[in-house]
Amino acid sequence: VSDSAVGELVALSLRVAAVATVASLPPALATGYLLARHRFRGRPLVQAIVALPMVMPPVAVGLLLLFLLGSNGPLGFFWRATGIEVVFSWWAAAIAAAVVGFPLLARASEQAFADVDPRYEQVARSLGMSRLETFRRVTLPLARRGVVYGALLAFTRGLGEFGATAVVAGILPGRTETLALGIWSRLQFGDDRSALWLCAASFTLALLSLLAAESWLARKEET
Amino acid sequence: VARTRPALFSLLLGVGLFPLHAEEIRVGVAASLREAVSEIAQDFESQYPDHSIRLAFGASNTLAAQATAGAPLDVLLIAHPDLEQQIRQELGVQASETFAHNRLVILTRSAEIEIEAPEQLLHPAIRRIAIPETTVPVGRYAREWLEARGIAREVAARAVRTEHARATLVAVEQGHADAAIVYASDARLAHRAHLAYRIPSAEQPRIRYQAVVPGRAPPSDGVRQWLETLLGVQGRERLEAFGFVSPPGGLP
Repeated sequence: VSDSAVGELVALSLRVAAVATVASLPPALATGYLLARHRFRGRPLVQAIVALPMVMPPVAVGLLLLFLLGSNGPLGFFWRATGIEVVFSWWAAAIAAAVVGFPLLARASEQAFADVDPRYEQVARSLGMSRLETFRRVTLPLARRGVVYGALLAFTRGLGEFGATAVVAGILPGRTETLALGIWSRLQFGDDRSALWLCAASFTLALLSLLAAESWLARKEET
Repeated sequence: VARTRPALFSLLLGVGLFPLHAEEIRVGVAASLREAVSEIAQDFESQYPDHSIRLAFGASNTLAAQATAGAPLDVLLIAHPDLEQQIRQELGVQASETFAHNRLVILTRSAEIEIEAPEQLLHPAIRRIAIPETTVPVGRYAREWLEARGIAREVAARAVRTEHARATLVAVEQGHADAAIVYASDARLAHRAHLAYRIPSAEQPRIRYQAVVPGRAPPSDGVRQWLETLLGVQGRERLEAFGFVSPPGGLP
């Protein structure tokens, strides 16, 4: 019932954004690689679908997630059978952040993989490396600049996620109330002063992660 | 096999006894009830130390949609009777009680803007009027009243639509609007805005807050105790302290 301190909100936001980014790495890398290396029919459609969560209203994304993760939705039998309650937990906030951050990561990786000369991969393959090994030891290291940049962008996007999170994770102080939700509910509450403190915290976090992303890009350009 | 039986038995007994008493009661709370219900929850937790209350805040319609989709909510404290019908159809309803009423009032940005009759909302000094969208209950109640007074169209022309009961208060407090139609309970929380006009009782829309227990299984002990606290003397006093009106008729 008690009001969460700023530190708690910051810690929860960081946890949500970090879990979201790590969890979306494998599918985003796979999607990025597929789009960068293969020309197939329906590729523009896949590209459009990947970008969709970035351009759809976040509330609509939240509503779709609520429908999918809710125990009365089409997957409800699964949630009821396993006893897992995703909706209104911090996992729901992490899933929302992962879904909206996914396009940033997938598109950045696609770009990064496209910039890797396929001849390096062909050489590695001719030396007997498996596909996976080639990806892990040749393609990924060469593309890591763009991949890490994309991951940091997705992380930052996850930190600020509001619309989808409010719907699927709810505003439960001490459980799902992230920085963005905390600012909103304090504004509603008329508590402008704490809202401003939380704004300052979220400003600092966002600035730090963007600075990290930019300096990472600059550092790697030298080598 | 025989040796494990007593262990298993005591394990089952232990598991069976413990959670019967400790319960987490998950309550969805309409934003306008936030402060009052937070205090009632603290009262409840000190009275029943074994139970805990987990509050989820939001607009009434969002909470209803979340419950319908299967969000874990044992009790909903919501602001519009239509929503109760929706929940009844989708999930079933085990209990439904009116626990508070509210009233509409008009706030102005400063005490210099006086309102003695509804028509004065159309005075040139009032350029912007904050009114919640009609998708939220308070917006519907406000429109109902404005229509009954025959000034709905004129007011709509200068309306600033807010998404929420509480956002309406913020709009007039921050000077983004010259006047606002809000709940009496929200007006209590105003620091800068001025209570300019109390809508007479005869014209007040019937605004009621409903405690709804969704589902097909009978409510647990914890949920029943929570409803007793909410509807009892303690709950009543807290709600009245925040500007709500208790339902007529004695205590349950």
